[in-house]
Amino acid sequence: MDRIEAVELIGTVIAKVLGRTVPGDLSEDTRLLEGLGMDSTAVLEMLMELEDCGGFQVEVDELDPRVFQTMGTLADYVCEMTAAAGR
Amino acid sequence: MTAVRPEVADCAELARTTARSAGLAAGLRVIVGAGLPVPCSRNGITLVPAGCLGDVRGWQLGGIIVPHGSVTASARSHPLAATEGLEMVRVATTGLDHRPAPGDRTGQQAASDIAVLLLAIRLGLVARMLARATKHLSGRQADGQRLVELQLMRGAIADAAAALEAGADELCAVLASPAAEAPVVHGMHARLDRVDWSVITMFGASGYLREHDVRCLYVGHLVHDAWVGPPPPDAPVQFEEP
Amino acid sequence: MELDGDLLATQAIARENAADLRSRALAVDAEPDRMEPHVGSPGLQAIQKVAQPGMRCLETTVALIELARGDAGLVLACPGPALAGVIVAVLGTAAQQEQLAAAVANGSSWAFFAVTEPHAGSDVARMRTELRPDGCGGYLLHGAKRYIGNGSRASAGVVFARTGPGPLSLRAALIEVPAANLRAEPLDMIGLRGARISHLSFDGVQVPASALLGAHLPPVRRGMWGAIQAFNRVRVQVAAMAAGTALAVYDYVRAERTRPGADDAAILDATGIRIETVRRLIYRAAVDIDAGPRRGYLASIAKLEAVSLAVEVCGRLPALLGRGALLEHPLLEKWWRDCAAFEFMEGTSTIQRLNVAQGYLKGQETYG
Repeated sequence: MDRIEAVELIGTVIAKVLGRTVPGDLSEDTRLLEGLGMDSTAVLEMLMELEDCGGFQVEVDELDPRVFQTMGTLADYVCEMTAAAGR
Repeated sequence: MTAVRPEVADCAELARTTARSAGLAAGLRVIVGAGLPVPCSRNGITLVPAGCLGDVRGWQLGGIIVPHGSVTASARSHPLAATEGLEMVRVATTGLDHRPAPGDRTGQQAASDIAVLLLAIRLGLVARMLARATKHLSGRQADGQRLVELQLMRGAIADAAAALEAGADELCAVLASPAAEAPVVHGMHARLDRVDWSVITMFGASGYLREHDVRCLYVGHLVHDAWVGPPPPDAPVQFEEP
Repeated sequence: MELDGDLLATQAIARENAADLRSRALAVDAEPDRMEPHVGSPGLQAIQKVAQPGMRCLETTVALIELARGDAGLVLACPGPALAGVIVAVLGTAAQQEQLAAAVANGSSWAFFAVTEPHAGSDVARMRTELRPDGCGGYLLHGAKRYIGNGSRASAGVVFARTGPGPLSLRAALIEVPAANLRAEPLDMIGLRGARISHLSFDGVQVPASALLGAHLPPVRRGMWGAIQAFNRVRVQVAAMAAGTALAVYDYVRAERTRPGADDAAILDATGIRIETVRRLIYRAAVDIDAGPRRGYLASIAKLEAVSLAVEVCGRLPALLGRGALLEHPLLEKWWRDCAAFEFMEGTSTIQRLNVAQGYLKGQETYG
C-alpha cells in the first residue's frame, strides 16, 4: 500500500467511525484526537477497521501513542504495517 | 425595591450569606434564632440543627403554631442529616391548651416566611457548592481536556450561575410584595431542585461519598421536604422554569 | 414491544419476589455487611437466578426491573459473579469462566469488576493501574481502583490495568482474593449502601500470565474492546435498576394514597405511564444488545432517560404524601438516596449524551 492509498484509507475509516464526512482540508498535519475529536473508543474502532482493511495485526504493546498524533503519523504507521504484512 | 417587612429581608440576607460561608446548619440556626416556628410533618417529625432545641421558640404542627414549652421533643438517629450537623426530632404536644406563639404570627404567614428564608439558604448553599464544583472540574480531565472546558459542563455551570442571579433578584421581588409570594417561591424552589442535582453531578462519584461537602444539597432537600413541602393546593406553582 | 410467554413468566417470578426484597431493604441499607440473615432468602435466590452471565440481556433486564422494584440495593448486595461474570463471559476462556464460577459457587461470595480509578473515571486512556512484568513470565499489579461494587468483600474479581504506555495496552486480569499486597476497604456512600462500593489498592499483587483475559483473541480485541461490550450491557442493567427504583416509589405512594384527589390522581397516572415508557425503551435497548453487543446507542439513551425519570420520581412523588414524607417514610428516603447512584454508574449523563450524539450522527449504522 502506498502512502496515498494509506491516507485515503484512513480518511474512509475515520468517516465510518465518526459518522461524518471528513473535512476536505484534511492534511498530513491534521491532529486526530484534538482536531477531529476522536476519543479512545473511536481510536479502537479505527484500528480494528484498519486491521481488517489493511490485512495486518496491530502490535498492541509496541504501539507508540505518537502514531495517533496526526494523519501523517498514522499514514506512516499503516504503510509500515501493510508492508510488513506483505501488502 | 423596598421590602414590605424589613426584618424578614434582613434575616433572608443573613441566612443566605451564612449558608454560603458556613453551610446548612449555620444557615438554619439563623432562622431558628429569629424566632420562627420550626415546621414539622403531620406526625411531628422534622430536622433541626443539632444542639439547637433550646433556641427553638415554637413549632408548626398541622397548621397551628405551638410554643416550645408545650411540647416534648425527642431526637432520633438520622445518619445523613448528622453529617450536616442536623438532628431529626419528633415533637408531640403535651396538652391541648395552646397559647398564642411568640412573635404574633399566623401559621400561614410563618409557613410563607420559612419558604422564603429557606430559599435564601438554598441560594447560599448552591453558590458555595458551585464554586467548589468548578474547582473540581478544573482539576479533572477526560480525553485530554479539562472537564471545565467541555461545552456540556459550561452549559450546566451557566444554568446554575443564572439561577443564582435570578434567585437573588426574585427574592428581593418577593420580599417587596408578599401577596404574590407562594407560587413564585415554590417555583424557585423547584428550579433549585434541578440546579442542586446539576451541581451534585459535577462532582461525579466523589460527590456521592458521605464525607463530601456536596451532601449539604442532599440534606437541604430533606429540610425543604420537611419545612416547606409541596405547594398548597390553592397556590399552584406558576411559570415553572424549564 | 410485547414480551413472549417465557419472558412474561420470568417477569412474574421476579415480581413475586419483590416484596421479600423490600422487606429486607432498610436492614441492608443500615448494615450492609450483615448479609447472613438474607443469603438464601427467596428474594436473593431470585436475583442469583437472573444474574447468569450467559443469559440474554432482555431476559435479565425484564427480571431486573421487577427485582429492583423490590429494592435495587438488595439486587447489588446479592452474592454472585455480577459484572465480573459479564466481562469474563466476553473475554475469558472456558477455564477462566469456570474459575470465576467456582470462586462464587457457594452462593455467599461476591466478585468485583474494577475499572474506575481515583483520577480516571470515564477516561480509560488515563488509567494508571499497571501490570508490570515480574521477570518470570507473570506480572505484578500496582495501582488503585475506586467506587468498585462489593470490592471489600469479594472472593474474586476482574481488574483492568495497562501493560504498556499506549491507549490500547489495557488488559483484564482475573484475580482471587485474599491476595498478598491487595487492600480493600468499603467507602461510606450516601445511598445504594447494599452495593458496598469500595476502594482497592494493589501494591505488587502477583498475577500469573494465565490470569489475563483475552489471550486467545486478536490483540486489539483483548482489552478495552471487550470492556466496551460489557459496558453496553451493564448500562442497560443500570437503566433497569433506575426504572425499578422509580417503580418502587410509585408503588409505595400509590399504596399510601388510596383515595387521591383529582390532581394527585392525575400525577400518579402520568407517572405510571412515564415509567412504562422508559421500561419499553429499556427493553428495546436490551434487544439491540442481544443482536450485537456493540449496539450501545439505545443503551445510552435508556440510561439517560431512566436515571432522569428515577431522580424526578424519587425526588418529587413523595410530596403526594405531604410535608416531611421523606422523614416519615424511611423507605422513600432510602430510594431517593439510592437513585442518585445510578447517575454515577456506567458513565454519567454527560458521557451518555456525548455517546448519543455520536451515535445519532453516525446514523445508527455499523455495529462492528
